[in-house]
Amino acid sequence: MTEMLAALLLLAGSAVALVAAIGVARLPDAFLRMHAATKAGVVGTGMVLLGAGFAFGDAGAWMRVVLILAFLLVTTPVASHALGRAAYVGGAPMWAGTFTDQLQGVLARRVFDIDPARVPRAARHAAPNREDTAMSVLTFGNAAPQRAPAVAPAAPRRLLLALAGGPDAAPRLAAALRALRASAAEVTLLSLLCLPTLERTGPVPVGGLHWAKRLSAHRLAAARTAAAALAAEMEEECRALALPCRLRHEEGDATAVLAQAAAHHDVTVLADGAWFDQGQALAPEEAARRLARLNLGPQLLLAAAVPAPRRVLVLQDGSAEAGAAFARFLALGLAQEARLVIAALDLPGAEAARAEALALAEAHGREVEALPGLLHPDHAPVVPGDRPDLLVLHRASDERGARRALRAEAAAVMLA
Amino acid sequence: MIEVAVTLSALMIGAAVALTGWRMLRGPGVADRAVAMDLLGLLAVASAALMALSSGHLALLDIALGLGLVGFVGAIGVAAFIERASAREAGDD
Repeated sequence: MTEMLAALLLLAGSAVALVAAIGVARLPDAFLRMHAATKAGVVGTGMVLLGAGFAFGDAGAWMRVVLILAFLLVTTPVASHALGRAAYVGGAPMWAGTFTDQLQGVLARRVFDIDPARVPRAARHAAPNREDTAMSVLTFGNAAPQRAPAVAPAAPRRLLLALAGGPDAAPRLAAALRALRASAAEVTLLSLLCLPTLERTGPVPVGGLHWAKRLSAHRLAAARTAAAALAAEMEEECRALALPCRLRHEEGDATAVLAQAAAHHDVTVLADGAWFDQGQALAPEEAARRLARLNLGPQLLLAAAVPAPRRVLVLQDGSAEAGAAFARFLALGLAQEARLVIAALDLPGAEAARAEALALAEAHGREVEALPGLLHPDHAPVVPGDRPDLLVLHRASDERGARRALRAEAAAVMLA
Repeated sequence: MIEVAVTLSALMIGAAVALTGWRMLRGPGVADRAVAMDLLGLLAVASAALMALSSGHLALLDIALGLGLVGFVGAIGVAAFIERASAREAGDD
């Protein structure tokens, strides 16, 4: 009888251990794998140990078995808690179907080894003023509206307001509208839902397909509700500012739809750090990376707290693209009252480009000065005097150190 | 009867070790490897118990106890390492 019980316990225990191992091999992310490994692992090992105790049957064996069991029951939860915390802090990626992150804002999620390109996400209490760090392709804080340009009004411009979701999207987009009222003749509100992101389920564990589908349907429904609310709010804002606006709702691949829509507009206004999932599926840093990869038309990146730009820094690296970008910036006629500062990076041809850009800006009747000396191409530009409100770069210079540093300082960036 | 059970259990534990080892080699992140290592420690305790049964040496149960200890200390160590290294990487605190 005892022998039978021992055999049963041994078989059941090793079967549970095997299930735990299958879970570790099959489940989609480190946190779910941990769930399988520790719970099922302890039960499996514990049953095997109990089986051994019954099979030996003497006091010495039982003492050891009970000791090991007690020890395992005490240590395994502690070890798995420490590992889970470390995995979270170390930035282990989560399964796409995860829809509550209860540690968000409690623990800082940093970068360890998973994805070197990802920027660390600070804890909520570490960044008291989200407005200062929030970046957007064209985002103004609650700044005073821009005055009408002193120069003759430029040609009518079409503005594409891409309604990407996120907690701060509505006030930022509204501030952008107020600031651009002077130069925008027509606004297109593009309400866009990125279906590939919202419907992504990632690898699904055995039997999880139903729940994965339910989750993505839930995400899509929530995103539709949020998108409708945001669109209504923006339409209201446009009406209040007496700007003619058209509302367009699209669902599909955000990169394709947005690129196609941006091609027919002069300036694209986007909330950086927000993706077209209305805050449902992507972390802000991943959303920012995707936005950075999009090659849209002229994009203006302004920090939320920065008012209409007064001091504009133009970086010239000697390439034809940087020159063309500056020319496009001038042609757009944005930031008419701002003082332009033209700086050259320490790269071949940059000094000549600086002189040419100076001449071009003067020909356009803009207030302009050249920054003496050369800036290191990979470091933050150290500009004497006030920090610039706006930095003009060409689109291809996305990942250069200057932009990253300015992003960190929450100054504004224009990708022309 | 118990011999058959021990053999079958050993086969299942062996398969579990193979799957966990695959996960440990595959990664993809340090956290996944650490979890796999944690489970490998538990499986080692189980296989030590099975070996104690098949050989009849009680001393192998003491080894199981030692393995459990080492696995716990190892998991805590790896967790502390990941946390500290990621804090240094981020350059804050």
